[in-house]
Amino acid sequence: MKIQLIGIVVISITLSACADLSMYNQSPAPVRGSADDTRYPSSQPSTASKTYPMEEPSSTNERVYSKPTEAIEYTQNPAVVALLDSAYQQREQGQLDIAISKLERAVRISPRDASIWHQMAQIRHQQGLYETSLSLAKKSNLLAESNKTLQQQNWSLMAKNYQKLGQFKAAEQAQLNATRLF
Amino acid sequence: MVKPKIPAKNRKTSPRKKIAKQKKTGLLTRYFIKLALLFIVISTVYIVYLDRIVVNQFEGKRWALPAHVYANPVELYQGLAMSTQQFEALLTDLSYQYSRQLTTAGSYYRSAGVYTVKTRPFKFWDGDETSKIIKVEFNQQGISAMTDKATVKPLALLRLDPVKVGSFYPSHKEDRLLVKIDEVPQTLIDGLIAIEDRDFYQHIGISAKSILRALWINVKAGQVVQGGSTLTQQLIKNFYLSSERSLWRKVKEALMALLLEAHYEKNEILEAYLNEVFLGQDGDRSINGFGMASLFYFNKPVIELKPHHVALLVGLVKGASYYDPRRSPERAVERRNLVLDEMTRLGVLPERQASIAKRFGVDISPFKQVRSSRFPALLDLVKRQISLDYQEEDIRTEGLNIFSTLDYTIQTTAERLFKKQLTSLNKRFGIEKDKLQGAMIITRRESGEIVAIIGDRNPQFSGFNRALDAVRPIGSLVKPAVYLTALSQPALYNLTSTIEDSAISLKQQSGELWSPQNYDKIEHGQVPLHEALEQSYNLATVSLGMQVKVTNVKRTLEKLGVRREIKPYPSLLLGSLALSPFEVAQMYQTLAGEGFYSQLRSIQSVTSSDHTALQRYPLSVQAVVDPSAVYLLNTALQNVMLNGTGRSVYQHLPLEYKLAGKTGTTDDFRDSWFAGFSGDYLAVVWLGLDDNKPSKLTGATGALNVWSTVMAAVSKQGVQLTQPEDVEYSWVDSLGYRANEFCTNAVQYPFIRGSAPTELSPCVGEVSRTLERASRWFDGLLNGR
Repeated sequence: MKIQLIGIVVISITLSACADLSMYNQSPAPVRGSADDTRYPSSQPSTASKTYPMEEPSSTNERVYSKPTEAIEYTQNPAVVALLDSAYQQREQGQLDIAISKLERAVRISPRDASIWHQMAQIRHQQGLYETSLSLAKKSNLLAESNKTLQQQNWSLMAKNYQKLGQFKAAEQAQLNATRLF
Repeated sequence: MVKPKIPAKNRKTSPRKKIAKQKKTGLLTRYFIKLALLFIVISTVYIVYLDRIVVNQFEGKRWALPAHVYANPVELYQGLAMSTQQFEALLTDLSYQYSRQLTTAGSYYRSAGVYTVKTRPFKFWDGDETSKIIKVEFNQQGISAMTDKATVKPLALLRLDPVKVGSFYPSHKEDRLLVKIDEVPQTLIDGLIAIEDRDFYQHIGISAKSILRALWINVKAGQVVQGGSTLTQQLIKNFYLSSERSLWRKVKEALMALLLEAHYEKNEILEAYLNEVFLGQDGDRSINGFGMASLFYFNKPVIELKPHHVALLVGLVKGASYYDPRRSPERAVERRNLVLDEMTRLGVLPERQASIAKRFGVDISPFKQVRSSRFPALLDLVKRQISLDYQEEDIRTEGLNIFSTLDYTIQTTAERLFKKQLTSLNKRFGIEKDKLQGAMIITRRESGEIVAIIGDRNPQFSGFNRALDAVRPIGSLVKPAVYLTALSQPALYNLTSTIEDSAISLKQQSGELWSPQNYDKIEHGQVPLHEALEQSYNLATVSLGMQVKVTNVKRTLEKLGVRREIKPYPSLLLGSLALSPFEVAQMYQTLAGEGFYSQLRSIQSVTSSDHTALQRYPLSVQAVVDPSAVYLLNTALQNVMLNGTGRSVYQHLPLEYKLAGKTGTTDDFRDSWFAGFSGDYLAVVWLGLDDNKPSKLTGATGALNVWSTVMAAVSKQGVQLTQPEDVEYSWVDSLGYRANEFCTNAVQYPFIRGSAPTELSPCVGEVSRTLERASRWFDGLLNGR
């Protein structure tokens, strides 16, 4: 029984790997934190390949976007780096609103950069705006996609916010999520 | 008895007469003294009263300063997708002048494809930008490099000064830019004193000498060269008194001039004069003070003025409309040269400089500032949003600087295309001439900042602001809320769940039967949920809405950001709810923001007239709906554009944009709606007639047409949706059974984990079935560790 199961598993892994390599070569190159990814199979789509079927869909003439596979390799624009630096300095000097203003400028340049949203969440937490900070951290987390380090930082920050808001159960769960990502 | 009395009386009169006479003169003197005393008392009281007026107004807020509204400043950086044409257009919008020498801030030149720009300094909420000389280089993609000329180092980011897009004026519409006396070139002060009041630094407010001299000079010249009033008197006249011409007013003016001089230093009075004097008219806006006049005529700050500029402005003091350099350049130049001569004669300007100055033409800037009514819909919105925090009076008089979220380039581009499309639709659909109306709002997808807003077919027309005030039934635009309500219950619904598209009759609140129909009048039977949304099937939507309950749809709409009262009747499911384009944008913002609500904002920050930071309206997000459900919905909204009612969009934009959106058409084609987003912007368009008569336009033929044209011009990014962790893709066949990549007609759809169909399609072969079971077992093993 056991041997049978192991056999099936081995076969299935081999086959799916073959399918990956031979037939559908569009599966994405891992982008960030790929080493981490392997530890979280639950976060991975279960099927191996995500492309159009080989044949054109016939009857309905329906077109479908392929599953969005690419998390585009992201290098931060020097302008965004400059603004993040400047925001960091302002924050160090206790000028939190000015720091936020710089981060908003960074968002205008690079709206889906999860690290900017995380910085905003950090400052809002520092200002005692825990609800706002919580939502910003959630937004950052959504945009962070495969960046496990950032996700982990977001979960910790969320935990702190939940704690301050008296939502201890949620805080505990968020902390758990953070530690799971270590 | 009577007789003797008379002589007796007569007799008595002579000595008495004397006494009476004496008494009379004494009485007169006393009266006179009394009168004099009374006069002195009254005059004193009056003078004290005048003194109070003089001091109070001079010490207090001297001028009601209009609030100025600015567009979002453009930030340049390496990698910014901007062509050289766009860059030049931007510099033109900012009134930068072409100059090889880069003499003044706000100038640039181009040499071999490289731009060198001398920027203007500007004070923002979060800090000052100083004037810099920057080299900007371009390649095919946009800006390839920026270098600071002073440090010869690459520059990461450059924030330019913002375009002024409007003002809120005090009731008298005086516009001025306050200057301090040490910011004014000495030639200007010298010239002004030479022409208007040569003894300014000597007299005590009034000057007999000046009056006589003016008379003499004017007679000699045969024309009025000089006025007799001192600068102080002129200031008093403009600052405190009405324009009536009477002797009494002259006396009052003289008294007040004396009082003003008694209280204040000469330079304080002069500074007030420099800021008060009337120097031009721009429509109904009056140009007051040398600071504003310098910008208005020369597009330069006053400190940068050359003698020929200075002399022209000084010449305007006598009659700004008679010597208007834009309308009567020759007259203005003649007057200017007269001023230059007088300055030379008095030794305040060397002869050589005067003759150089005279060689110039009128030399005024072709740029006029943006009229205050240039963007009426935006100003209306800004006014409404800022009125929540400031009093009307303060908005009009405190000289606030309001930094709006408007993107100048996008607004002007959108206006141009919107107008063009409306005219062409009006014609194409045989609508009565100029009757088709519309509104449009464009926001930043991630932050809810409004980058463009249009409230009329003629966007510059200031009247009914349809973007905010045309409240119309939203039709099918409501449908995403119905489907989102269903998709938020993954145990019951997913994108491939089938729903019934067949005739349905519902009893309404009034007791009447309501029998909605499909647009094509056909019943489609069992259809997958995504298809019902893509094709905007009414019957399927109503049946789904009744299943998930209308009150829950109402709740979803409220979560998405609809603040207006919603009646939970079944007709809500097909969009009987009436909203303004602004409110629709707010609702769709939450979808574009992937489940995060961001309040739509038209203002970023406010500073005071001396640039102190006052207020900020920060970006905020609020997690209001499950991002996973929104992800599924947005995928379906992308398919609306790919296969459904919105597919005509790809005649204008490339397929890679993966746009997401929804069309809306109301009964008898009264309203044509489209709401949707690209990677960077969300936009909502409404078209219809003001009298609510049918316009013959559907959401797709009308609003979407405008939307596509504008978005094709302004959007630079395709939609990227972030796949939440608990969303996975599965192959599904056309009947909604689980399939795999080897099945014909199978398609991948996203599902919230655990909600994908498990029943296998017949197309799945035996080997795959085994593998499927094994992998599920394997997954279970890992998840349950």
